[in-house]
Amino acid sequence: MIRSNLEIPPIPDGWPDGVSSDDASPDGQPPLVQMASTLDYDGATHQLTLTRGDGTVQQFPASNNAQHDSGGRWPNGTFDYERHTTHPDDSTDSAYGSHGNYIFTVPGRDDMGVHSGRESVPDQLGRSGVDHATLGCIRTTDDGTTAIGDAMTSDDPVTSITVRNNR
Amino acid sequence: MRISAAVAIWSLVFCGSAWAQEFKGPPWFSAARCSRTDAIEADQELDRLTNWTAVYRNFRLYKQCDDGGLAEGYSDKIVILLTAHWPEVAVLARLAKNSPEFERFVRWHIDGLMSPDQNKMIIDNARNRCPAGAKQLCRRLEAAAKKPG
Repeated sequence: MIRSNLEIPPIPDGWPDGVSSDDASPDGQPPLVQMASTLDYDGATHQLTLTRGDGTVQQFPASNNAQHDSGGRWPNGTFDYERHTTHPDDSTDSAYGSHGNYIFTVPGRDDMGVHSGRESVPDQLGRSGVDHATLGCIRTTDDGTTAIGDAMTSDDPVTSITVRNNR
Repeated sequence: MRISAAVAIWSLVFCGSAWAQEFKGPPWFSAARCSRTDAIEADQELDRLTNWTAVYRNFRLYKQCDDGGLAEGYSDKIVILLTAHWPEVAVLARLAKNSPEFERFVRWHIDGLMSPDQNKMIIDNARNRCPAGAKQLCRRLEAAAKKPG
């Protein structure tokens, strides 16, 4: 896992886009802007990146090895967060991993989520962990879903996922 | 020279088809007919899919939502029933006789998500422990388990 602080590019006038000195708080400081966390999955690098509202970035290995007899992989694009499901048998080796499935709204698909699981259980092709096959979902590690869960219970919950290079 | 050319063409065709992987989900899935409520209820029912009657009921109510995480849950539960609860396959045989689409649903979920050990167990069960009157179903289950993952 890589945990680092993003370099925030300098802002020429010292104010974020769309914010002017007219919006200043009484002490003259820029107003606090509550930022949501976002998820980004890159199908080329097989990395899931969680960017928290304060700019902190965490990266986790992930794969989207959808079976041919499924609706297929995630399409590229940005998708809103929908809901979280958990099950009594959630564990490192279960179908969804220790922390359930974080589901996003993907047009034309159902139950498209990010989960972990099958850490030491091979699929038909002998792949385990993040490379274990799914029927559409992105599979990451338990560390990854722990981080998503932390964000969800914080002031900057994940509101969307952006998927790129996944075709 | 001719052999090299043949190998090159074969590589191109094989690699090309592997790269341009085509996906085909189950025909009963329909995002348009799967409401948010359906998807939530189907998922909540997953934990109770410990026998074939419950799987059949879930299929009848929510087959239109058979995609993504829910589909993965179906595969998990169906493979557990065909391995750890094989003696109950007689119930599956009765349900499948009345609903060929349900049998197809079950066979669809004997998929690449199962482990090689589970795969072997399904083939062994279907071949050597098939209840009377379910031979045809067992043959089809075995064939489903043998299909490439």
